[in-house]
Amino acid sequence: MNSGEILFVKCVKDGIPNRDPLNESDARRLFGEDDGRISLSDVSIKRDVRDFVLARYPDGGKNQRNFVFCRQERTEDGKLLGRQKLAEGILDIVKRKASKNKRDDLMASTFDMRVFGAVYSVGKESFNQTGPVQFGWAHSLHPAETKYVQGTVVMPGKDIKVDDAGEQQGNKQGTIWTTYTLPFAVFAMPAVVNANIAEDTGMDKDDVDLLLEALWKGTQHRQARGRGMQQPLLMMHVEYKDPFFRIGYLEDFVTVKPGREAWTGGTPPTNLSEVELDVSGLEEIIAKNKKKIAHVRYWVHPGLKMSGSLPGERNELD
Amino acid sequence: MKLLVFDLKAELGHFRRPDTTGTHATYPFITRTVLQGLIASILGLDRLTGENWAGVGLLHPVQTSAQEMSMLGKGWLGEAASTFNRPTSIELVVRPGYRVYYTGDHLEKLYDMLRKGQSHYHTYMGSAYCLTFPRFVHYLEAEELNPEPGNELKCKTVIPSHAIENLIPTDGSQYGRVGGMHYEYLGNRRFRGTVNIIYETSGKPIVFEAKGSSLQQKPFRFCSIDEQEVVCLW
Repeated sequence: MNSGEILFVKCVKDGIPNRDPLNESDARRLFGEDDGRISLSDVSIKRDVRDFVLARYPDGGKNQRNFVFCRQERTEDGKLLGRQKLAEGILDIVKRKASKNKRDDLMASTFDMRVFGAVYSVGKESFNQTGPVQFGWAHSLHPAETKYVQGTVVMPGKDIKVDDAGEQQGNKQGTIWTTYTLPFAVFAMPAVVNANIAEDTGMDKDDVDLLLEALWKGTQHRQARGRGMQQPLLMMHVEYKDPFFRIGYLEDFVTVKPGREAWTGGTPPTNLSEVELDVSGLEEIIAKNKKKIAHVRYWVHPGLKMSGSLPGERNELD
Repeated sequence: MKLLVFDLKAELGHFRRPDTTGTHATYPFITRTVLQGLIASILGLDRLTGENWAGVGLLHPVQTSAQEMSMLGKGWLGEAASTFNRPTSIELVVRPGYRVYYTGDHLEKLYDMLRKGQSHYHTYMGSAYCLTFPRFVHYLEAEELNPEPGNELKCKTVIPSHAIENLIPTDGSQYGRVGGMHYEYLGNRRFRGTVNIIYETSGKPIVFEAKGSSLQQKPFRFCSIDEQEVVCLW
């Protein structure tokens, strides 16, 4: 497989995909109010990928290669399994329970260890493997204002009780909920794929394909009221001939229209039809590095309007 | 001496202070050991060996933001617990940008790779999610300086405090000190020595009186790349 870079652009409507517990579960704001952009951690996006792979291949898939190590699994009485039990569970299924080389056997059986790397430290057994794929944080391509909203629940917090006098005691109304929500935002996330490290972990082209599918579909499948309705908009995979070369900062070459003033004004865009992604910078930088590029492929949401044209092969996901 | 100049920038950086456990505080700028690790990554080495001298200039004001992340919980670590996740506060450097000055045993190879936009491994600002892509700026001849004690210098990089006899405040400057930064990485998560650093919080030059010759245990060098300002390599 080749070294490469991934650019992933997604939007969210009516929710916040990754919240900041230190700020009343509002959106993550790293850049301050003046800048206005909001962010999603790499951890949250990797969770989307892992959960998709876990749901798609609960039995590890073909050749039992695609188990997921970093997952939430409990015993029958509700206790969480730790690293050792989670690893042993996988090794048991692939008939490597007596493994003398856990690192290699886990790398061969778990998608997330091969792709994202792992820190494994249980008793005397420990290994540390950097992942060939590293995601950056996703940042919105524009300032985004969140809204503080309240609502009511039909159920009260406590049940009705009968007091000593035989009278019913209880709340006369349901509880009130409050939350921050985000009407609409578009995010860009960069990622790098390193072929040199992939050799160490056994990551191959099939893993790259599954990663891309999981990024796209894992985002679509991660639907929850608080997280909002997420849609993948654009995913581009640039592969290089030279395993050491990178263009870098691909996310800096896309911009969203309308510009900053519209997003900070009274009527910011609230859905996909009101925005356009300008990819002409991306087109230019890829053309400039054409000789170093082995292959470009990309996926586009049918509802996304783009200015500029992308080079490479346009793909569709089923 | 030949000096290689390159820039690092990112949206985020995290240079974890080793004395923080529950909360991950960061140094305000890239540390010596992180920078050496980054250069080793470019070259495809486990760690940087031999003689290496580097200076760091701040291109952006130091700004940090604390974020609470959902890290893997104690249950994940194999202890009895009922939650998968453990809230952990992480301090991040926002929009870090550095101009790096390097000379040493790997000069030619590093120059060659940076010029071609190459790196053997990933390059990041202290933590893997803080991706950065070094950009070549210059490969130039610098003049080494041997300031006498008390000589006034204007330095565009951060400076080990033991190289400074006296700091000179200037209009609008705000000097900061970072204490206990790891000096040398020995491999296997082991370190040797610490160093204290003086920096200007928005990246303005530091004006100071030099202490004179370098102290041998944690040596430093000054060199001039233009008439006005110097850089400190350490």
